[in-house]
Amino acid sequence: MMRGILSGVLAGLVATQASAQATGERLNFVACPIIRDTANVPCWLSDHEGTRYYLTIQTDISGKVHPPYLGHMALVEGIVGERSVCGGIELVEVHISPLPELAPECDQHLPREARYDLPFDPPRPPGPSRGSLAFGSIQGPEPIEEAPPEGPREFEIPFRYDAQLGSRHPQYLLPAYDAALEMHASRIEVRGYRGGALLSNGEQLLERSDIGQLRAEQAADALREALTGAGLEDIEVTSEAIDAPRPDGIEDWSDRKVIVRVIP
Amino acid sequence: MNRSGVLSSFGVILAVAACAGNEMPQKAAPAESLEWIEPGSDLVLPAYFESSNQYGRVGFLNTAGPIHTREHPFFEPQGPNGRACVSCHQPADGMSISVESLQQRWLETGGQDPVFAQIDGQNCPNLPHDQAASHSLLLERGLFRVGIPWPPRETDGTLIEPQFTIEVLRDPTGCNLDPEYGLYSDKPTISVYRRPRPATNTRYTAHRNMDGPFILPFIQKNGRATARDPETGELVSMNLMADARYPTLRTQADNAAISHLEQPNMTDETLNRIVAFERGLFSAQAYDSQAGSLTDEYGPIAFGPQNLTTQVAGTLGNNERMFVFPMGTAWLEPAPGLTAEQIARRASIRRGHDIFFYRTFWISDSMHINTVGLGNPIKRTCSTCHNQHMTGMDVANGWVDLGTTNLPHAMEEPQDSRGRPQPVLPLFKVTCKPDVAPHPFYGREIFTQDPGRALISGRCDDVGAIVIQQMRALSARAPYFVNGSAQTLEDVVIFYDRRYNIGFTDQERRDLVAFMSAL
Repeated sequence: MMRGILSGVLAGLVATQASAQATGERLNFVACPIIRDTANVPCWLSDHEGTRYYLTIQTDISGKVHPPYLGHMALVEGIVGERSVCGGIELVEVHISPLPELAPECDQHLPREARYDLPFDPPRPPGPSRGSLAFGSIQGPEPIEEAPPEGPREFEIPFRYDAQLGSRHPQYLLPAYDAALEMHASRIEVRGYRGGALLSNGEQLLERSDIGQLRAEQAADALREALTGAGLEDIEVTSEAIDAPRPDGIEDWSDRKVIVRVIP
Repeated sequence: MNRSGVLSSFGVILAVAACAGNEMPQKAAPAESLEWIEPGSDLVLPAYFESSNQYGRVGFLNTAGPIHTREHPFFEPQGPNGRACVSCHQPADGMSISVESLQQRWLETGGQDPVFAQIDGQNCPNLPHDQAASHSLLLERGLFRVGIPWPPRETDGTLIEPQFTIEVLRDPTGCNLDPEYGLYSDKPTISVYRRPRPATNTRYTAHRNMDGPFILPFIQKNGRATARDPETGELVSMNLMADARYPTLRTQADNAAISHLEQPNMTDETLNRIVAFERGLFSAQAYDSQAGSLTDEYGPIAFGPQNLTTQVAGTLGNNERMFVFPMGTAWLEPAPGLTAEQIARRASIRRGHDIFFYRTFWISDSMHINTVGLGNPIKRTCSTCHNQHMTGMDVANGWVDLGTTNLPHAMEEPQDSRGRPQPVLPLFKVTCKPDVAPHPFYGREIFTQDPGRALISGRCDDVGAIVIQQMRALSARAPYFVNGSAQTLEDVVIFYDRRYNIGFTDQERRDLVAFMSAL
């Protein structure tokens, strides 16, 4: 969704910068995020090895990419794009994880510069929009694979690095909840994964050791309580922690997840 | 409430008109008796009346029509302390209670009014009852003591393992360190001090809009299971009370009877009648002293209690299709016959609306706002957090840390004439446990006057998160914020100006106050 919006909105922006990292290469790094004001919606950037990268514009809860936090380092995982946006080389398919510990040194707030204003059409204020939400309706995940209605179904819930169950997860829990009610599920198996990240500089990060268990238990508790409240009083919900394979730098974010298997 | 009085003739006229179609052709209550309704009063409460305040008049509307207060459980004393619901939810005070009313009540009764009951109308129950100093938080800030057992429990009684430890750093009321009532007593209790929320406009505050995306089976702030109505099993909005600790009007009334009225045995019939009454109530400013009527044919949808009866409840207003407080094209052109003063005031109210809705600033370090996918900081407006159509609450399960109770943002303590701090509220130190993620904006140590939702959830990231209040009938019920730290609407604006470094101009401040006073 975000990618589509930016493609249209930023068509006038030209790729002019050379980068240390070649276009199309994966780039994973940890750095302070930087926010830049614009005439309308602020944009988020980050510097890595002398190059400034563009991460995302300010979004809202419906956005596919959620911006980072000043006051925290961020794990950035993306692919180097061609365009320069808001003073940085665009990272496409970007995943941003604010790291949990405070980092007060991450406080760079850049003023507006007219050359970096984003040409939205129609003009979009940073406040109330003309639609219901700025970036379309909240999108739930698709089932991992289509299954006959009577069979088990699986749902994947993504997590940011070292993150536990939070505000972005109701939209992912909801399809599993609906499926359980629809099939009068007898059992739900929740598997919480602990992943990591292989940075482009060769450094390997691993999530906290108990994160898989925490994710699994929290998702299982939420589903159990929600479903028993909805009438599935006998449902059995189990949780299991799994360590994902060692990170290899390629879509490591996809290993930081919970898998919910809903069984009739 | 300003004692210049209730608009008696209007009240009588409307009361009689509303009676015409039913079996209650009683005489309407005398105007002065509506300024303060004592528990056990024998009145006919009109279906509609207006009461004076600093900015004009607040309207009270009961869509069920006029009612007898005699033998109605909202108005009859329910327990041994002589209180009724109306003790703290006065129609003339926007169904809350103002400090002005409390101070006047103290003078008129020598402190014997049941509203000053020991259980929560004193800074601590064991203080001398007849001394004003024992009630200083109530008399100066309109704060009632709320004693919350610690640690918290699930609704089924299961103990919740808190994610943090809590210490009492400062205890000016003496209650949190009291051997009988305090944190280290046999029944560990944390006393916080809070304003009573208006028992009105419940169509919005306790909405059941299941068609919208805002009541989900999972809490939109943290992904946990949403609370349900214990009677029906239906999901609830979790927007009641400062900490959403009770899910429905009925459970709130039942527990308020215990904790405020000292009546643990409310019958089903009694609770049903209280809830039915509250379901029909609407309150909003109806007349502005300078702008004139807010509800005449030229009035915006945003204003007046009648408009609250018709709008969609439980929906997002932070967009140009719905608006939080719809002004439409009203007042863009002066209505015929207005004075210059009225025209100027209406223009100020309109500008205040536009500032509230459109004036951007940087919102930072606000838990459950910056953390819900928006990033930290975000460039948005007042209506980003105050987003519910017609009330300005947070339409999602609504506890948010806007800094009203957490340091360093909270308005701390007043100073004496020599500039020395005079602490009036307790101060707690919350320490997040090592195996828990630190609070994203405060880290592992948080200093707070009121931990808010965290006292119920036990979560570190809920410390200081308070359910956003409705912004209606504000003129009738100063002071503001959960801890009464803003004595005036000007103080509210000043707080946010400082908290978020907004840089309002004097004109913007005045316009915002004009707008809020008209709600």
